[in-house]
Amino acid sequence: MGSRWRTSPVTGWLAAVVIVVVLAVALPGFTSPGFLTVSASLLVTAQLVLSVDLVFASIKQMSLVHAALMGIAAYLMLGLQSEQHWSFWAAFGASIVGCLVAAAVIATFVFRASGYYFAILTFVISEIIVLAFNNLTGIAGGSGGLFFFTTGTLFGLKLGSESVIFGVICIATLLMFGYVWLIRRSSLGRQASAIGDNEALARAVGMPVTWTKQAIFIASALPTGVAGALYATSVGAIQPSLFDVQLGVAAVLMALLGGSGYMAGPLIGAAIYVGLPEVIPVNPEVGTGIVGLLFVLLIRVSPEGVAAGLARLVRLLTPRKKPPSAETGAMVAAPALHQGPETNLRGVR
Amino acid sequence: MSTEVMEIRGIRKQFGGVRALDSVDLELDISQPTALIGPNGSGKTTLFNIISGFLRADEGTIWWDNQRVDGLGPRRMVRLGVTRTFQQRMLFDRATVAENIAVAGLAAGLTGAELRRRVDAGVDAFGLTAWAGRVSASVPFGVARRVAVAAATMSSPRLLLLDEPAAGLSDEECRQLDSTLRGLIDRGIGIFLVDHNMDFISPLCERMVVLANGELIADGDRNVLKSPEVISAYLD
Amino acid sequence: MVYLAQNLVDGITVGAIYVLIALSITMVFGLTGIVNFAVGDLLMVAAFVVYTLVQHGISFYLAAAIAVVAMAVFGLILERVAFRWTLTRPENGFVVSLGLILILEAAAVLIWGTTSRSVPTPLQGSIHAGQVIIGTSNLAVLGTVVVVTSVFLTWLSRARDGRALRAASENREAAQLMGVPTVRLTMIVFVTATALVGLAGALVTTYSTVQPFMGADFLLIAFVIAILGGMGNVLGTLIGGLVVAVVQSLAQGYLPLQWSDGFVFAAVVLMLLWRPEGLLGLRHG
Repeated sequence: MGSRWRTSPVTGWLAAVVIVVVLAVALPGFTSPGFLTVSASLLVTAQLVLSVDLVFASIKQMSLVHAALMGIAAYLMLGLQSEQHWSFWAAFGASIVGCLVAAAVIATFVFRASGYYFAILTFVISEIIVLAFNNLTGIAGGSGGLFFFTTGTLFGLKLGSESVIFGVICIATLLMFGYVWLIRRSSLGRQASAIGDNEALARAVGMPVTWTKQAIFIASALPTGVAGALYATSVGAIQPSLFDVQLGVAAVLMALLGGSGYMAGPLIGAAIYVGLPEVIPVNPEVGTGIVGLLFVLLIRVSPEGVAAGLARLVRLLTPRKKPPSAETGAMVAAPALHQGPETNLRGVR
Repeated sequence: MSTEVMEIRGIRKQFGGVRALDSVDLELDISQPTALIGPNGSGKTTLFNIISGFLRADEGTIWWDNQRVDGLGPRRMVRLGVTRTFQQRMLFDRATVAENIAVAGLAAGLTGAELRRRVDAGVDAFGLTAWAGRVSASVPFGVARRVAVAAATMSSPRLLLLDEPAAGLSDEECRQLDSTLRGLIDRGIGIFLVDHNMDFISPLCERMVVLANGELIADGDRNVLKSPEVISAYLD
Repeated sequence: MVYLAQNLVDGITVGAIYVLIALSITMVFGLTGIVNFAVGDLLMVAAFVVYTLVQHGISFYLAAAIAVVAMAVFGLILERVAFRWTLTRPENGFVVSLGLILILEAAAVLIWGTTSRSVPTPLQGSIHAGQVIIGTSNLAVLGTVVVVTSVFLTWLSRARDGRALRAASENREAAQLMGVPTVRLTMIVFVTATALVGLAGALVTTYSTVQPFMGADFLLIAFVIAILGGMGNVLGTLIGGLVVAVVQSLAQGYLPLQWSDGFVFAAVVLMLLWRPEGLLGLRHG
């Protein structure tokens, strides 16, 4: 569908703004520390989901390893500053580079598997990485984790301050969403989406399929690295279990729930997963149960994700005349299909 | 218009106990549009798959451009100027018709203004202007056929392998496809096609090659259809 | 050598339980393409059911039987209410299973709290095979799993529904071309899958304590076994279970504890790279 490939931003961003506003109102006070922490966490998580969805929406592979890649960036960020006394920006750069390099290494062999096996392979690689975090006591603080509180300034503002970090995270989020938007529209993004749509045809028109998959995977590691580095800076203390498969799985969940392929999807997904439990005024156990119930209901009501549902709602509420040849997301207006003698290669869709 | 020849020598292919192709020898001259005909199950699509790099032959060689190309994958073959279309409906369903063609161009290395120009030209040449913005999954079969061929031309192939391009097309659509293919032939692109529609093939292809039970049983002009071997092959 | 044998004996018992869970995973995925991450928590529910029944004076064996039946019924309900509509989009089945995890764990915490409970084992004592000690309880568990698996395999190869199920799940490509699986088959697969996990949960109480978050520990290894055997392939799962039990026992016996899991993972990675379809893989039509 047009809306899946070249995402139409308007309705998506509208949805995202609505959610952010609602959260801002619901949480007690805009400038209270609680809000900043949750929002920072939300935005950082959204970047992670953004990365995962860049891969999933295009080549249709579920990566469970991005959470561990985020961990690599986080550990580099705090480790280089605390152990090696690097400056904030040097460590920031190195974390991102480290994350990209790790992604490149993984990309060299991970695409030998496809479909479900790809997901499992990334699952296993993720576990290995987290195990490494746990056991390399010399480099990372071992299972005790690592902590470091940033000093230094950015344009005269203290980096250690929570609101400054939050500001940096906001800007980074905007930049990363812009980056992904550009990637999706680029030659790489379009070819990657083609691969996810019909890989055999992609090969038949001469596309370098494996290389494209690798490239999109590595490209997706940039927002992950940024998220990891900034998350580590904002909380100051990390441990291996933060970046295990549970987060990896949650990221995929958020991508699906929010709406895969939609720019606002990661924000919505992160808002539901991270923000919602904070907002429900009941005790934690009941809260998680309700959130679980919500997942089931939401995905039932809108199987293509909340962003899709909202987009549909907006379309319903704003009727306009469309010329017949314009890009239509729905197939309602299409003439009746008449199938040729051969059946569709992929059967029921 | 240079004369380029693809030399196919001794191609054999077996699937389990079934011999799909048995020692096929063929010289394809791109200046001569050629049709591959034969009863169902005679191995035509298998031959296409092997030539285009989707399948490896058990034995035999293929020479093109002064090099051996058997065993190279589809991507390399496209780079060498050999592109194929499919018998089934094969499109990027979720993308628009224009994007289908554009992506093929991207894969061939076209970008920017050049890409847009070529896409517009392709849309125009194949009569797809009214369909350009439509999502491919919703276009009728005949249109889908044309989109597939249009996409295949984006890599500027020197040899186009078309697997049943006219199947499911109405008479009018066949006429349109015929004139489009003639345009390609005029530009020096070699056409090697498989089809059953004789009314479509005859005017277009001077040369007919007949495959039956994996063997080439006839090779000549339209008159081969009248030869006894060919007739009995179809009747069996 | 004795050390190795002892390790193997201990490992195989636990492995037997993992195999039940892996069978559950592989059957559901094979037919529907749904990855059910909630199997660990379904096991947890079964374990708690056994605990509660035993607390009320019911014999362990009866409690176990009731738990299995209860889980089967639960599976029927889940299929109808939560999963049926995801057949056309199995990745949403995955989402539903994740939601289910949260719901089940929340419910468990609310009903039973977070403290670990233990269920008194009906079988005590052990036998000695040379210098290797085999707990009677372990033997019973292993025996039960062997019997149940044999019955299950027989059903898969003889009964009409069983054969339909096996055919559909082992040849997903062909099954996909035929469209969405029938309601009947889907119901059967869910009921069977939850019953298997229910049995696993009951058996687990013989050697482990029960708490709301116990499911997670079983999830990873069970999935590894299911994949190793080739998703959808029942025989492969059994072999995979054996292989994993052996590899894990060896690893735990000879490597420092924190690396033993890593060893199993690395082995799985290498195997997947070598044979991406799993040991026996899916047969393509």
